[in-house]
Amino acid sequence: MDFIKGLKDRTVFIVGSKKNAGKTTFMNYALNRLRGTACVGALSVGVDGEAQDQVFGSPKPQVRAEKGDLLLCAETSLKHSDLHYEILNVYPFCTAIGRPVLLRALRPGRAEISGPENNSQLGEILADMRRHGAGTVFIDGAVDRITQVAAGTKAAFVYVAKVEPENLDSAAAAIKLLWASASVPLWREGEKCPAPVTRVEGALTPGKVPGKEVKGGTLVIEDLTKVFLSWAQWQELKGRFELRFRAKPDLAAFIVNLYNVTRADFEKKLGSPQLADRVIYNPYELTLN
Amino acid sequence: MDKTRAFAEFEDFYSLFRPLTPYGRVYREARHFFADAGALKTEYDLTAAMQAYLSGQRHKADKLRFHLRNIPAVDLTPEALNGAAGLFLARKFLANTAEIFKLLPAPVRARFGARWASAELLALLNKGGGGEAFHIADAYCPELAAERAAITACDKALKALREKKLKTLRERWGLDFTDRDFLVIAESAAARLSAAPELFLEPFDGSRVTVKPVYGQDYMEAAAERDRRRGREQELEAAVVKKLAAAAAAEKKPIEGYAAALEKIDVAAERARLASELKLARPLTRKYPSEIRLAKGRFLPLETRLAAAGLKYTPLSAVFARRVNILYGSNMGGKTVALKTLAFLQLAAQSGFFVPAASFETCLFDGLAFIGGAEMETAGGLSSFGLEMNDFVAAHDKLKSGSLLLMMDEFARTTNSEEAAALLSAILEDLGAKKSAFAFLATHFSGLKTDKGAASFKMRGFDTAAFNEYFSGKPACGLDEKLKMINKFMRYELLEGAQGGEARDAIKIAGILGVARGIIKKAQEFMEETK
Repeated sequence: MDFIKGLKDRTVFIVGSKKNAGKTTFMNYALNRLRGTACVGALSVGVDGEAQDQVFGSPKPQVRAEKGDLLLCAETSLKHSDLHYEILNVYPFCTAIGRPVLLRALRPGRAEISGPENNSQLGEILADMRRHGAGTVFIDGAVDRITQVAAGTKAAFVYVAKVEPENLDSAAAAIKLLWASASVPLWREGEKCPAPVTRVEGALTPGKVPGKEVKGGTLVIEDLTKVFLSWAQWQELKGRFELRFRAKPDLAAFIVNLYNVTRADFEKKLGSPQLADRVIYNPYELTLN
Repeated sequence: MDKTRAFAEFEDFYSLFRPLTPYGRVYREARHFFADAGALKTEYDLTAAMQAYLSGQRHKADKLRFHLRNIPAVDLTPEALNGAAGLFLARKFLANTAEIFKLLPAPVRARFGARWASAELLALLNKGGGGEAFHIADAYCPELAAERAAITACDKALKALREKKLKTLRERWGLDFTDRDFLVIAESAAARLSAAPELFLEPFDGSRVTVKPVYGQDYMEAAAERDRRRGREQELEAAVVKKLAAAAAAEKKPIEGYAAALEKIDVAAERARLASELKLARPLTRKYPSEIRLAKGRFLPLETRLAAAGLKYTPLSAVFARRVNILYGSNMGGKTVALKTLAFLQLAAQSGFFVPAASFETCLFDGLAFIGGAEMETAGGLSSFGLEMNDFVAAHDKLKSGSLLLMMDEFARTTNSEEAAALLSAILEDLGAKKSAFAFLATHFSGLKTDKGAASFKMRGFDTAAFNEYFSGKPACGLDEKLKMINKFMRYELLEGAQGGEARDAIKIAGILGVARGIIKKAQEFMEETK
């Protein structure tokens, strides 16, 4: 099945492996594919400082909006935008680049999307977008915002990776880790699990892994995006503990943009045909006969 | 004052006070304390007016809350109004204000100083959209409408040219640009495209190229025309913004008046909501000094905790006709809770709230002070005793500048009883002589020397007869059950005229809490010997 269609009417986080991984370029493609009966929405979270587009080295790509799209933009960026729009809300929280403005495009144009700075603001904006008719909403970035939004919603996330010879091993390991952790079950309150049950708050880093003297039990982690371990550390952890996630957003797809790396070399590094089957390569790539 | 607020657990209650507008929220953060009778009466009157209006009108109350919640902070500075976002906020403010004012009957509006005079400005801003949305609409400028129509025509032409070009590329070269601005293809496959004038190629990586359509002269001309018209559209939009901003800024004075009225409406509506939900009554305040009378006063934080634990809560009723009052009582007998109840009610009353009591008559103080609860604290190297003395010196100083409600809980408990009693007796005498002091002292020390100006009270204490009847033959139980038992048989009533009578419940309480029977028995024997 075309995975893009599976994103319809959901809140989709687009998470990048690194800066300039191609998130906004992917978002433009996905927006084009999903415009339909319900309008689409787009915002970003946090100012990531990405100034250059990964594809052309030109200024960072803006979101291309069609009439009816809902966008969240910073008040300051609207002055120079190409967009004709109506304002649906101006939020009182002040970010580094001004107040976020929720708008509806009144004709096609381009705009730079922006976002709030914390989870409660994000929740308010998402609720507003839904109230104004948004079907699918894309959130550019914000790996750390997934847990809250995932709870009780149809949240999904798309992982966009830029793979080059210099990061081939680490990029493949990161995808393997996400793939492996996606199979960890969701923690259910009252569930009988091996004792002791240890909850890990925030990121699971090597320093937070219980020492070797702890031979077993259950480790409850916030969600799979909070796992900051190497592949080997994850394997070791899995061997010692029953693992659970408190939230489990749907890992909808891995989008991989290869640069000077062949598919064969990349898939060899992944070491799993099943995982390789899940990878979507650059949707802008075309094979000509 | 902070210590008194903490002792009275007042923030627990204050956190329920949640005004909905930015103006109400600023008021909330100021944590007003009213010592002026006239100002406080105004606050009470507004709450009462709002309570009377909203009572039994669920629909209107919901509507009022809806519009209050939608009120934004309006900023009329040129910088804030220099764009559609600022005008959106001005319109949102005015539209919701108009609805709120319309909702309130004329006499209620008059009380809050709510006078609507901006129908013209709102009508002007309403040209920018219906419902919640706002934009710099064509209706503001016929020339703007013409430019936008031309831009739409450009967009249409550009779309047609793009589609035509993409169709050609698909048919001629097999390149499908649907949903994409560019394509990435293998360099080897791109070799045959390099001479195509309608394609722009550049390296993507070592083995692939990026391909973009070259739309041609017609397209570039249409795009340039669109850019030119967009530039003109921006100029016209800026002129409209300037005009609307000037209209909004011209009504600065009435808008500031609306903001002031909205703050009052918001605060009063929230106080009225609390009064209805928590069954609060309007306090009766008199000029200082006057007696304090409370009937069924409830210390809300404890009432809530006990209800959650399934325990009974006993409201407090008392009349304090003198300025110096001593509260005696058992351990766990409720002396501290009695003080907390008083502090809570007085703080609520002087913060402009109705209070949790059947009735509460009091006088207004210039300040409140609490001394006690310092067992675990040290400050600047002072022991808990030192800290208490330091607090007392500070409170005593305040007596020079105005009336003070002074509450002392187990003052000097950490020193020897003989010296503590002497110190307390001296302090009570001193406070009795100071007309600006209204003092409450909770203590378990007996034998305090007080003059006739001081009143003594005693918590009624443990109901031994009832306890013996209930407890005989019952098995041992856990802490929760023991606490429930103390709660069940402790009589949290304040009796006047204890005259320094000692509480004799400590050994019984210790027994209930699980101290060995042998120790309890021996302690009782020692008590008999000392009589």
